[in-house]
Amino acid sequence: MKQIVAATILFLVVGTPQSSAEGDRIWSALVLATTEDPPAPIPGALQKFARSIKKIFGYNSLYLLGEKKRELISGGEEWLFPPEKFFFRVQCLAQGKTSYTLRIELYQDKRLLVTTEAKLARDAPLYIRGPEWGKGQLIFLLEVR
Amino acid sequence: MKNFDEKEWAKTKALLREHLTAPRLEHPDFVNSRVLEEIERQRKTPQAALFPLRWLAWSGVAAILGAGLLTIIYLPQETGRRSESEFISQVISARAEIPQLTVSEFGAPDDRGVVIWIEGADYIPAESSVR
Amino acid sequence: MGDDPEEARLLVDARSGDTLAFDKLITLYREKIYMHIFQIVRNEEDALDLTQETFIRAWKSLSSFDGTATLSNWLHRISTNAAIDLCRRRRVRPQAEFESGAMKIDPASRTTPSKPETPGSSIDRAEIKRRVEEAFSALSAEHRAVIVLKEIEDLSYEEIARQLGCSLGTVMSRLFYARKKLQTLLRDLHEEL
Repeated sequence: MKQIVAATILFLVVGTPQSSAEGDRIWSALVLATTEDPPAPIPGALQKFARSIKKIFGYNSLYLLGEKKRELISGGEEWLFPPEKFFFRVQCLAQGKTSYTLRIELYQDKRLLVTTEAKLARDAPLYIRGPEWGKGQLIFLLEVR
Repeated sequence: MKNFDEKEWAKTKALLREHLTAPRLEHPDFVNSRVLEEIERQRKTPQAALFPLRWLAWSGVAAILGAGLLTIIYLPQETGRRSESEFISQVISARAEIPQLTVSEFGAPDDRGVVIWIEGADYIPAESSVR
Repeated sequence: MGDDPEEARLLVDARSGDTLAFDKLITLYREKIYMHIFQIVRNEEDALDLTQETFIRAWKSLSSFDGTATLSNWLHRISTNAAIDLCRRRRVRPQAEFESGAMKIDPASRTTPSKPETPGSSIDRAEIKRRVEEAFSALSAEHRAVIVLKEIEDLSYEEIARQLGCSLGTVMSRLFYARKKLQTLLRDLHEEL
């Protein structure tokens, strides 16, 4: 019987850890995506996402502005502010064999922009299209690993 | 779009579906005859020699075999992925918390991921920090 | 290739060069393709020409049709691109279906005085249709295409991206702006209805 895990995970560079039985972790990143000629080299951490981002958003160059990985937690709620401008508040509502049901809130300058409930499976990322910044697009990535 | 605009868009969409109608095709057989005439005309031109019947036949067979091979290779992975809901990410619900934003969601094309698409967020000048 | 064995057989024969088989395929799809094209170009003559062009292009490309998409989707893809190409070449708005050249109804006026007004209706159907078509015509060909594919034909975002040969992001952006524009142009119509 599965227990419902009422935990909060923080991102944007993410949260406070307490291990799950499986040792799963949540990885998140803030990415700047642009179109350049020639394309900029893709950072190692973003290699696996480059093709999908190109297909979804149309950009061929990615810059990693920040990333964090935390073990998934059970119980508690935490906020993590670095960076100041954007952050997530994530609650883990339920845990399956291979996925987690999360409530995710995206904030900008402490203003709540979007609330979503999503089921994240391992290695199946959530892409969130953020605002445009300079000549590029901010994209948030979250993935259970 | 999931926002207060959703109701208004529903009205607009209803108007489009009701009034953007298309007339029936008059003299439909005319389409067939014109197309077949053109095919015949192109067959008689020198370019037609580039596509002899045998070539067409064999390329058709090769295409079918290729499609079958691709299906065998890729389809089990795709159906395996998409039919096993535990292995794909999904958005259960998503809403914008400020009026200027709209939120949509769809499955990522190449992997088992999911996309939340936000429109209407304020542009951030390059000189502003986002970290 | 879809689930229809008859269609599959016709397709195999057509790819072998059998024009009779291709003729039957045209008969199966001509109406749908015509109506789909008309939705984008909003002109009967152009839609008729492009329907023929779609099948001519399809005949030439039969060997490259590998069956990963259905025949219907493949034909729709060809026809959508043909329609967009025409609109780009023309760079004119298609004619409104209801433009008769006769007296035009002032949108602010009451309607059809010869008939009793339907309660709650201050604008007649012909005027509504004209307004809707006018607003739709104000969109570019690419924006009309995404609206038709999404809002009228209910395709998924991915299928729309495949039909148009663009990224999902492009589809989403075009939809967003097309919806915004249509809402702006038709907002007062909601209030009148």
